[in-house]
Amino acid sequence: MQERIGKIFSGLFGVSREACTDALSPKDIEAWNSVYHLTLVMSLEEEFGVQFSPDEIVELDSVGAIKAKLAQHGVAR
Amino acid sequence: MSQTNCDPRYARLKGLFPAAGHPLSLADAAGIQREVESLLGSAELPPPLRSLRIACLRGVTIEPLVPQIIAAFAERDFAATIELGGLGNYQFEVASADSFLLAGGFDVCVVLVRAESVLAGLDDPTANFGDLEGAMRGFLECLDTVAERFAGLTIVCNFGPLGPSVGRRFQSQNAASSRYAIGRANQLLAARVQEHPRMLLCDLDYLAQQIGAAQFYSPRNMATALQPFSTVGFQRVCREWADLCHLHYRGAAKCIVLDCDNSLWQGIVGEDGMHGIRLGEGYPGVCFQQFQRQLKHLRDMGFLLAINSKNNEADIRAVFDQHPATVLKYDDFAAVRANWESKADNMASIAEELNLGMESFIFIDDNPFEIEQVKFACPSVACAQVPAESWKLPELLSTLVRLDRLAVTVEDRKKAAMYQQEQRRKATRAGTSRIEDYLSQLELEMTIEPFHPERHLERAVQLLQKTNQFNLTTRRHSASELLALAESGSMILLASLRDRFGDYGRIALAIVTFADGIPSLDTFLMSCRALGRRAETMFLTAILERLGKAGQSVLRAEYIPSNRNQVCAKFLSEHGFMEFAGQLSPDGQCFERNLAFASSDVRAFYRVTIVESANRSNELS
Repeated sequence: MQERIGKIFSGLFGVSREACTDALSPKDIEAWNSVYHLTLVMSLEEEFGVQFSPDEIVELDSVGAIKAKLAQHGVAR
Repeated sequence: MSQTNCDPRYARLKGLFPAAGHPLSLADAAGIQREVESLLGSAELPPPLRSLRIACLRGVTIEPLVPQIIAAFAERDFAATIELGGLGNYQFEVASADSFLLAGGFDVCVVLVRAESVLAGLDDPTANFGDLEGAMRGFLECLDTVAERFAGLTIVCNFGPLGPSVGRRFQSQNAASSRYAIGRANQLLAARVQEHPRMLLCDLDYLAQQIGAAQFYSPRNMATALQPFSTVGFQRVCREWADLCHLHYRGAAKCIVLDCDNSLWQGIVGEDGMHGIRLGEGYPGVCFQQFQRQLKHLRDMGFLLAINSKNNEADIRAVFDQHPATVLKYDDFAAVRANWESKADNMASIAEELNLGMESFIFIDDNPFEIEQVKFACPSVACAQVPAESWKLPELLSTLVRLDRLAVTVEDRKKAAMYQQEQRRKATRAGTSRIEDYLSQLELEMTIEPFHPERHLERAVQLLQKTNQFNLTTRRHSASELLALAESGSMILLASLRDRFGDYGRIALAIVTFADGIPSLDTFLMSCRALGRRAETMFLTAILERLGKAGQSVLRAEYIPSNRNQVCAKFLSEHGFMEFAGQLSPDGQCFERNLAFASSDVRAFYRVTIVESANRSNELS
């Protein structure tokens, strides 16, 4: 899961794989604004074949939170 | 396009795309967008990239999917930037005098508005759309205003299908309900777009049908972000925009070159015999017959067909002449190479015979080896492989974007017939020893007419965009630039040609501008299908005489070398122009000609008609 999330963050935000830690959040990446948050959500849905509810979308506010939510959707860690 | 010999920056951009057959993810698209932005920031774009500034008038959220747009255009070799109008603000932006649309120097304007925001009550099963024209009027007039005020290309998206609604079956029983209003509205849209020469329709409705509305839309995105499309749905939409621009700016292919055995029929005619091959009558023969029928339709749209096949010519000729199920006839092919030479050599010789550049061709074969060989020797030829499963064959041609057209001109329709006439003409030429004898028996006729904005715009722009070889300056004036030149008093003339073998239509164009009162030949071009009849000399002579009669004493001209126009490198010096050391444009060689001695011996072979206006003409001979 880390590998695939790292790929998305590197594609969308140009973040290196090493920098893509669980603590990474919108505070650390200027481009991770509300518009790119939707791009990120759609990228995650595209990559993992899941669909998040509007409430879940708001909660995806760090790489760690994304991993936890994906695990809830049955994606292997 | 071969990536072996191209600019490394271009190769790096192309390397960001996933391998063929793998989907392009949003993360890939975002990386491509960053690369395009960095290329646009550099001094010069690597060829064949072309920059494209897009404005978008929209009634939906697009922001999160902008990377997809940039990537779709990059896939078609456009380095695009996009500026979005305010959400739902399009009517104001079209009408306002200080609109971003008019100030921004955009090449393209995309209009993407949902049916729901144009037609009130679409979700009401009892709504009556009997007066749909009235309900659509405001939006259609908005499009008229865009056409009037925006000088670039406008792409108008039509309405996609409606989502599920209450009372669906009730609506289906009522012809005036919203269920049928969308289709009727799309007809009105298509009719209005057709009225504007610089406007194209993006058929969202078709795209949604192809992948299914449930896949195309995302109710979650709509509810949370006013963004109706799914990620895959929007990818289809922006690829369609890029394809439309690709066709608009680069033009269609011109010639489809076909293998025969296992491509136009199943089996090997040289071994199985004419009655042993499978064509028509059940699977898989019906698929090949359908493929032939599609090729015939493309021929009727003006694409040329040619054969490049390892066969004895007599064997394939027998199929085209005698097989009961063949749709294509021998005469449908503008060139035939049925021999045992390499297919790459045959491609070169077909290109020479038809006088076309390699980028004009699409080569279709079932054999991957032959395709690789042609790709290697002629990298700019687009190649497509006949699928191993014959039932997929009827889908092949529709996947090739450049086997499509945005408009069919009368000249296009005549083109296939013209090449046939050309073959007969070559046969005549072989029997004539001297060029003068040859010309004098052709019964050449040239008609010269001043450019008429309504009647000639489409053809004139087509000539400007497509003529590569006999083109002194290769200035690719757009429709709006051409209209501006006409408006500013430039002399713009078109010449059409006919001889006893056929009518070639309007084949030459000249633009003379008058900066500082001195006539200067901005553009002089002739379609290469008219070469070999001294028509270029006749046209120039008529222009020189016309300027002389108008009291002018000199004509300035330029030759700007390109990769393709060596054929006219000496044209000016051979026609009494003297080179001088001036510099009108970079790379250009400047010439000037005294208009006192304008006549030429070429008049002996031509009957020239000069049309001065729509209803008056005088004949000179």
